[in-house]
Amino acid sequence: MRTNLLRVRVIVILCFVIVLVALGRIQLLERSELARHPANRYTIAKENRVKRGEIFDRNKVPLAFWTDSGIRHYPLGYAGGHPIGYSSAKLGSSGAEGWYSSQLLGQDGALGIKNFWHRLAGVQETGYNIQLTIDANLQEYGYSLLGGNKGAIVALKPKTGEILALISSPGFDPNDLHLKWDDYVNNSDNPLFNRAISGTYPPGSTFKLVVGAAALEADPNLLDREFECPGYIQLEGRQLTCYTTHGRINFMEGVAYSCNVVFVQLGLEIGEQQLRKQAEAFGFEQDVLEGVPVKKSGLGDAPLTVNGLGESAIGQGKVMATPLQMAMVTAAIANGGLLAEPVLLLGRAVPGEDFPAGSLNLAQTRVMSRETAEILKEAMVGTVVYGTGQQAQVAGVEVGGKTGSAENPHGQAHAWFVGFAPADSPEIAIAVVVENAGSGGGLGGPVVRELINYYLSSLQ
Amino acid sequence: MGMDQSRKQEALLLLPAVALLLSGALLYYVLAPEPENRYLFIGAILLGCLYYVLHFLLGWQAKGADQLLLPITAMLTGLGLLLLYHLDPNLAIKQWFWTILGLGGMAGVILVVRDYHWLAEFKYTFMLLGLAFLVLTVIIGDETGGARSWLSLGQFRFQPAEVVKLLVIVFMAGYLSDHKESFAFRPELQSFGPLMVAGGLLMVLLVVQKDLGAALIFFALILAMLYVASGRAEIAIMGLVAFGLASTVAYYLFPHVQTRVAIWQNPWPLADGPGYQIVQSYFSLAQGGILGMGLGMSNPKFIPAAATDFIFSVAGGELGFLGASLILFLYGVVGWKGIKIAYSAPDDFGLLLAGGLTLLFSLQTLVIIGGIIKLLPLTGVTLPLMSYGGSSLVINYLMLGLLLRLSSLFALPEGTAVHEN
Repeated sequence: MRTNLLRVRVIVILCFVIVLVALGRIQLLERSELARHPANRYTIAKENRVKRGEIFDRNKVPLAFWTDSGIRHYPLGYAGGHPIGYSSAKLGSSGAEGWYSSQLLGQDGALGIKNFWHRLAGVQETGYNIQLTIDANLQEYGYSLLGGNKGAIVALKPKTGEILALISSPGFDPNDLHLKWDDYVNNSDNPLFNRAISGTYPPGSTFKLVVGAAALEADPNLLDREFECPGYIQLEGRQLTCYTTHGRINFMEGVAYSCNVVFVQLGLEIGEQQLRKQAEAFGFEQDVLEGVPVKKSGLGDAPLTVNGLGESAIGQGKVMATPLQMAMVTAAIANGGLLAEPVLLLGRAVPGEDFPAGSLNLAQTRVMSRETAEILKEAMVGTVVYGTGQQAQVAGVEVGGKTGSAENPHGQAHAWFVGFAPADSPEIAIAVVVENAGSGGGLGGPVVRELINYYLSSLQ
Repeated sequence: MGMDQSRKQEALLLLPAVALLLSGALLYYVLAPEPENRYLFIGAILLGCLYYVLHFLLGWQAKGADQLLLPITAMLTGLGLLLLYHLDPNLAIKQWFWTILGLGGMAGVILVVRDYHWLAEFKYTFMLLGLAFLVLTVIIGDETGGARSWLSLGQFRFQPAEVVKLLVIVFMAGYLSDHKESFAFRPELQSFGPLMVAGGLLMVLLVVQKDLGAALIFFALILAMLYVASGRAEIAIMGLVAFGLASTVAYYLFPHVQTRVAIWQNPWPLADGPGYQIVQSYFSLAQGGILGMGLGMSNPKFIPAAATDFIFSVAGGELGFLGASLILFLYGVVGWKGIKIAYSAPDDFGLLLAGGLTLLFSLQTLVIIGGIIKLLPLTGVTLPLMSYGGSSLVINYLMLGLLLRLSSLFALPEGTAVHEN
């Protein structure tokens, strides 16, 4: 009888262990999934308990605010849907509303302590107001320039890394979101997808800027070299072609005319390691925006074959980059080789108080020598003056640019254009991608031109 | 008698339980510092003192009794009271009175039960009394929460199934210790007969009352005790087969069983209807995470029946996985120690009695927590010591008092007179 008793004890203890494991699964593993469940009243209650802070742009233009009737209004509508986002107990959250919810719900700092007591006392809590680096006008204008095409625009301030515009098209309207939700979800153009930070595209010829930077760093006398473009270059059993026969050509012309032969040759010469190192310095394979889930740009798994390296050198093959990443490459060149870490959140303030001025934390890293950056800048200015980027010319302003067309298995090539202006002291760096729009100069160039024109005149 | 009678371990382990009560009272007073809330301290201190009175009583009257059971009882009861206070202060005050009544009952059992063998003499009386209670409930009982399981005596209402648990354990222990040989070697109808009839009647009466949780617990208890007495695994297996058949029949006979099973399989499509409770319980547990929301920080309105069936979900939400694991650990220790006590019994009846009491306590814990986390279909039973409920609390105190008394009797050297008074 005693043996039986001990056996029963083993079973009982085993049952307790099973219960413990199952409990751990709910409380530890399934926790966040359950917290996001639309029927979870704790999440809804938390939202209702706090009056979310409001969101403003860099010029204190409201981007999300409470109306007198207690409705959260988003004045930019579709144009601002992606960076500003939404927060809904039923639908979850996205954009700044989600990324900065701990600020908007006042969970840390001075308000965090105050809110703790308010929570105990049952008084409504308040969150911080936040200020984004976005320029509401530029955001709206840029969105209209895309005209409903699938694509994205990212505009940065090269000196500080501030994100002036983060545009993804088609967008969505955070106002009355629950009414339109099903349409968005069922739309094959995927308007809820933030192409600017989550979409990765082959960067095409815009990636030549990364290859060029690596090549210039490796060979200071590169400008004296002469290349010969017979219209194609032979790799291992594979030919990569140029769209024309460039003949004798130097580096500067190679950039301006986007000669594939020059850059495949340079890519093979510097090798995979140097290329990766340069790309990673620009932000490839890195988390680039604090607190925001930006998809990592990358060069694919190492090691690359010779063909793979050749394709990578012209931004094809396994190279994938987000529009934000290509804007960062452009901004670093424009800023004399210093990459300013991108910033979206400018500051926060207790409701009723003003945002503190000059709270921006500058984090700059040198990703290439000043000389390399100056050469690339000059080459990009040449591209707009006499090369493939002439459509980005702005009267009275020196613009630098680079076109790209990314071949992809989903139809026509994606058109890229990256650019900055004014060349002597850049105020803005832009990356534009338009899906399946063919070559880069055609659609991206005018968008960059209009945005530069608009932004620079707004500064005066 | 040469035994350590200082019971230092028990005295020391009671401290955290009393500290918990006091700090909980302090917390609630800080949250709502009204003068009349000072009664919280009086309540906590008085209860703490009573646990120490029990401690001294055990040292005086029950030498050698187990030293872990009382502190764990105090800890779990205190935790239950604190959780209940946040859910509904009135329930906590009632539960406080029930606790004092339970402690009185516990002291009574320790003082009165000087020998346990006489219990075996009355096994049939107990069983008949138990069945009579249940029959009475079926005939004149009140229906609450879908189950007809309450008896009213004027103002006084109680759940007979709780009392029946104690009666059934005594019957089983007595019956099985008398018939163990016939079970072990050649099972005959005449040795099985009374057991089958009693067990069958018990099941039928509980199912008719729609008290499925109690039916499940009794069934598992009878099987486990049969196995301990006979050592025959086939009895347990036959029992499981019978249980499977009976469950299938019940599934097709009773719509509410079908609903329970559907919720068990997937509560999400029923989240707005019958699955509401379990889904909200899930949310509460998930909200707790590792460290919990903090005592008194959950929303008492979110989970229906939070004070009774779902008290563990509230605990998991407010105290997190760490707190919930600690609670599980304490229940596990009761199971472990209780079986150890049973193991030290000098005779079969004592072994089966102590084993039965422990198994019932553990089974009830596992059935309700297992139901909350969807390991088992959810059946409404109380979590021993923590759930709100007078009948359940008092009976649990009586059973733990009996277990304490048995541990003291078993610890006496062989042959020592138990009738010394």
